[in-house]
Amino acid sequence: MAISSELLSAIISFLMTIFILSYLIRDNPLFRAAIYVFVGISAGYVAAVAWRQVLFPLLIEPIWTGAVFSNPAQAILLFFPLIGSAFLLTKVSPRLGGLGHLPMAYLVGIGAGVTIGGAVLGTLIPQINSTFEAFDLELAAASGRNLLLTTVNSSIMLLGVIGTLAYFHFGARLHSDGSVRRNVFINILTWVGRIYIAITFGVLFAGVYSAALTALIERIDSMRIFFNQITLSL
Amino acid sequence: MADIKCPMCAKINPSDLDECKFCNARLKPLTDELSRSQPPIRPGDQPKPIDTDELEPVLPQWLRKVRQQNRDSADENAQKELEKEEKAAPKDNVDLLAGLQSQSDINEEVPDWLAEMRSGGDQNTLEEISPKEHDQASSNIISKEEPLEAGKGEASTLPGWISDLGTSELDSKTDKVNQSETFPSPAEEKSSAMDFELGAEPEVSSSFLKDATDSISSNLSGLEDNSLSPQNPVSEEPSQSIEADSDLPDWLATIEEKNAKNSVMQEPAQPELTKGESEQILTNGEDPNTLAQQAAGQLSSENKVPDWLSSTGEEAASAQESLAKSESNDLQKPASDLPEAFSSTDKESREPDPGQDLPTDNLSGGIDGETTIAENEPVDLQNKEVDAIFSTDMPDWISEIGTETKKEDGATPGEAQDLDPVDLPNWVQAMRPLESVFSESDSENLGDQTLEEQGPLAGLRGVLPAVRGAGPSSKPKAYSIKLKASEDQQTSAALLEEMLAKEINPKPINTQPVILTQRIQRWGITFLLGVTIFGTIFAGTQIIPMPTRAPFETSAAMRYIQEDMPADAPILMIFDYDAALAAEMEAVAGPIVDHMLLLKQPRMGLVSSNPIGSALAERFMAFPQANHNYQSGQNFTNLGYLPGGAAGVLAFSENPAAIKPFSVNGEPAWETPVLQDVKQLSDFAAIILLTSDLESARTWIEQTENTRGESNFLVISSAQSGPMILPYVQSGQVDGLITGLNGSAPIEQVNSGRPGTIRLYWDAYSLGLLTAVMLITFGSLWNLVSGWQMRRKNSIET
Repeated sequence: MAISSELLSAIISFLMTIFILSYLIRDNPLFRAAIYVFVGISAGYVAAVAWRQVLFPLLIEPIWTGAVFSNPAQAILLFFPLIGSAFLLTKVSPRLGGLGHLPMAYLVGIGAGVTIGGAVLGTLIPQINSTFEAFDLELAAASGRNLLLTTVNSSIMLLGVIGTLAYFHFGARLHSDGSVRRNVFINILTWVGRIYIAITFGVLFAGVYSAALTALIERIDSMRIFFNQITLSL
Repeated sequence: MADIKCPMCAKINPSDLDECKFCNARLKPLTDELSRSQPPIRPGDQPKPIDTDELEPVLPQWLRKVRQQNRDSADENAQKELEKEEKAAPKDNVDLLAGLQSQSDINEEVPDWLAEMRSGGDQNTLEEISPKEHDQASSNIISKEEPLEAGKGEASTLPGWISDLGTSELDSKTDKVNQSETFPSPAEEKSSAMDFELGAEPEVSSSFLKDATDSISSNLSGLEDNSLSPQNPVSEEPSQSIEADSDLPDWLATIEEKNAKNSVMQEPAQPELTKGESEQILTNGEDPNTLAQQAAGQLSSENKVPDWLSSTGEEAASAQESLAKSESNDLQKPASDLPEAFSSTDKESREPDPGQDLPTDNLSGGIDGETTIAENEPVDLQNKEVDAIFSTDMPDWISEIGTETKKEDGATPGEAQDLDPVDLPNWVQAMRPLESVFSESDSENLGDQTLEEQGPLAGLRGVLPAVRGAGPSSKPKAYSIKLKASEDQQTSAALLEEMLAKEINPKPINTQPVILTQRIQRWGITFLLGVTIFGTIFAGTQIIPMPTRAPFETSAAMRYIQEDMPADAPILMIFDYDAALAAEMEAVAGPIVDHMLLLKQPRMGLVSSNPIGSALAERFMAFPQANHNYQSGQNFTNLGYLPGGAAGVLAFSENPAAIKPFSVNGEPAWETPVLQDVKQLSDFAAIILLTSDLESARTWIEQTENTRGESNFLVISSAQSGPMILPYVQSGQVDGLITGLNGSAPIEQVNSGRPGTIRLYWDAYSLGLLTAVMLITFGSLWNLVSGWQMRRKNSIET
């Protein structure tokens, strides 16, 4: 009987699924073998992707073919990543590892700047504006929404935002009795924010459980398909 | 002149008095007059030769008498002859006192009176002493008129028991000399003693006599060295031995003279005798009756000498007598029936108990039942000469006796008044370290009459000079031991202390009753979920209805796809989810993509900021959407992995063709029919992000905020990241959001049930959620009940 690639992949998929589920018993070699296989394959695949999709077509091939020399500007642009890559490779040597600090500093600096700028301009300011606009009744009326419900919803949202922010406010004052407590109003907001945070975590837990449950269902369905294939092949 | 207040009795005394007329306490320090009359000795100053004749008034009475005697008995010619004899003496003669003479000749600092006294002593030492002189010396010991003058200094520096010890040893050794000329070694001691007991006549040899006398001399020298060692060691300053020699009592000096005489005549000394040896020799060497008779005869004339001193004199007399006998080799009688008390150097006889009369038992017991001197002659310590012996540096008990004697005699302490300012001899100046450190003028300028209130100098005034600069120049700064801390600092410290206290104090662990072990719980949950999911999946049930009403964010996405999305428009699909969630993401994205491909047939560019994403994109197009027969390079182009994270996304959003010029197949992606009209990000009609990670969604939302233009931005997310992306939908940054199976189920129903994956999963998914809800609810109720029961039980117990 010839084993098709689909059947082979189904068998491997089934075995790996069983190995992973064997963790229900306890930590065992089958589970660890499956983990090692996944980690190794992922790392190898990432390295292959980086070489095949990034390094070779964007850095090596232009230099290898000499195409970059026809465009001096492109050649200059390729010079910096080439030197940076060479410096990063020196990190494997303790004596020459210091040369890798320069490209690392460049990467970290660029990454931090881009992330912070995007967070401020793409998240913080738009979210603050969104909170303000929730009380824009003209916009709500224009969109055909119920003004009362919009106001209630906006108030609930605003209370949740303020309460959550108050929950992360740790300032306190020393009272006459020697105790250090937060303001009563802040305490109330904190209590409200705690509720919102609890609901948020509950939603996140439900989402994680839902995603994991869907993955489990898919695996069990794949097992069903495998058994069906085995049954049909027999 | 101002009166002086007595430091002891606090009574006023005239300033010219040195001692209090009421309590006899000293009002001025002994060194007061000397310090005022003498210039201070600076460090490095050479001693000046001073005529010490002027010091004679300062000398004690006994010393003046000795000096007078020496003046009478000695002359300069005799001294010269003595020096000649010393030079002519054999070098092997070991005389500890002989070397002192030569040293004294070199030392010009020796005062005249001391030189005269030394010459007399040396003369007597080196000359052969006749038995008559011995008798005279012995009589000096017990003489009432001239009692122990030469030994005053020695007795004044040595405790009584040491003096007695030296005397006893002297006596015993002298007796030994009388008995035998052979000095027994410790090993031979016993046999020699037996010889004496058996009446064997000991051999008389000159060596034994020499050894015994040398040992006596060494003992005496040791005693003298002890008294002189603080200032001048004998080895370095032999002249001091002469001074000590001159301080010896007459009886002791006589013995020493005898020893010196013997040492001149005989060989060098053997090791000194031990106590036991001397006792043994004393026991065996002399007839106790003879000793007792001699002692009684001598002590009978010494009515006012204390018992212990009488015993000392008796022993010394007996020693001298024995010494005289030894010269005549009168060692005919063996020892027999010697009383124990007399034969032993009893500690009590050497160290009288202070506060009581000296013991007389030694002699009384030692004279073998005969009438003792102590019984016949009561002790009288009022002898002035005896008092003079122990007037200085005496133990307390002797000093007290001396004080009483002075009072009874009515003698005024006028000797101190006789101390006129004189030039001190050099050796006395060298013993004044105080003035060599502190300037005397400074102390005088300060008018140092400070009354010492504590310590051994309590009651004395002006004994310690107060010199400027010796102490602190200013009052020491006062420092408070209280910590200076502000209220804020104290508050912070209290807060820190409270925090540390909370950390240090262990919190009791609230142990809840274990319902089931974790393994049982795990297997229980697995069984429930397995039965639910396996049953529904393998059974293929489709009982539970799917939702038909989509939330507004899903409706917005459907509305755009159905109405606003242009046909055959380029769209960008971003595959940023992990392989582990590929099943969910494919199930969620399948209906909307299928619906979009059916309605609009868009040209799709595929890209991923996740290295796995490109493969997942190929899988997505190959399997879930296989029925659309979309071909790579014709209907879609997989741009592959976009490196650089947020920076890569930002760069791609600004110039996608420059950042990802090629597809995963190596073809120029932006020259293919799929993307040939796309030059920038905003040229895409829609950007659809498939993500299971909030960070990935936020990166794309944030970095493409300014480059998307009019492109519609839709997000298809996993159920775990959907709630966190929803605010971006409400803020208008995301046009539509499809989250999880619940969000995609209405789209699948709208899409005529295609591809049907959600329907296939829906029963298992719903039952799985229900099972989870039931388990969580059951567990919460169980904990609530068990907690309530626990609190109730605790309340009952308390």
